[in-house]
Amino acid sequence: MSSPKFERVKQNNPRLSDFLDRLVGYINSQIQEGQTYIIPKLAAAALHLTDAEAIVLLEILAKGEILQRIYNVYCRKYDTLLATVDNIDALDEIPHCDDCDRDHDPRELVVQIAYRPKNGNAVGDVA
Amino acid sequence: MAPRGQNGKKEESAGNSLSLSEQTHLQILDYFRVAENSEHPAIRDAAIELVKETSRYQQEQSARLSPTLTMLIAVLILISAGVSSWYFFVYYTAHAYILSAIAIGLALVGACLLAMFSGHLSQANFVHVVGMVWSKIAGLIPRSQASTPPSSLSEQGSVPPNDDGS
Repeated sequence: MSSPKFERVKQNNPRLSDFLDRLVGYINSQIQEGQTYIIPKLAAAALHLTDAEAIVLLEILAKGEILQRIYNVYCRKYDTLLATVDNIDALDEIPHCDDCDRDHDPRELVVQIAYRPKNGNAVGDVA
Repeated sequence: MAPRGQNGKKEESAGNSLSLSEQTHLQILDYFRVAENSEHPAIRDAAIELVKETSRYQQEQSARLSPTLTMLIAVLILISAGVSSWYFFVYYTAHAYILSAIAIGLALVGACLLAMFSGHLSQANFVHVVGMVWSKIAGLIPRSQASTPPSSLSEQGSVPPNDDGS
């Protein structure tokens, strides 16, 4: 049974229905495998789409409050995860990097855009 | 992983001075712009819509005036336009029409300026509105001054001659 939110998103985007079904199938499989985040690049590869196309579809699910966009911030030098934030403005308050023992300049950080289910559970079965 | 969209080079050169949140916002916008060239028409249309929404949101976020202040100033502008029109019709009956038109035009420009600073109107649309208001007012000037004495017209010197050459 599809979740009401997912049904609403599909009703609002009838032409994307097939893509959204495939994407939700992928998301559910990832959640069942214990993945916390959906990485657009991996979703794109699984669905045979480009990164940009996958992000558009993920963003549509985020608009429908099924997913939430999050940002993983990494130290560019050591590739260590410094913070995960769900608000874009919080990116300007990234904590001190312990590996480098200093506060980084934005150029020394890498932001990875990801998505996670809004309620932390499965997104909804594909009908 | 960052896409190279239409603004890729421009954003790269500006990237040094941008905060991390601004860079990330541009990165997301760039993804949407890349998706505008998708081979799937449905995704392409969705991307175009997302670009519009994201740009609008960013415009509102970068607004320099708070919504309350904007509303307050807009109400004051409208009230002052109404009061001045009333004043012109009571005390300057002969030129009330043109003066009121100018007052309302200025109020409209003021309101649009306010809307622009509050992030509800783009600069391009503001210029359109100013152009439209100016053309309306300019269209009214010869008509209203046709009723003024010829001596005052010649003193001003900038009024075009009437159709009969006078």
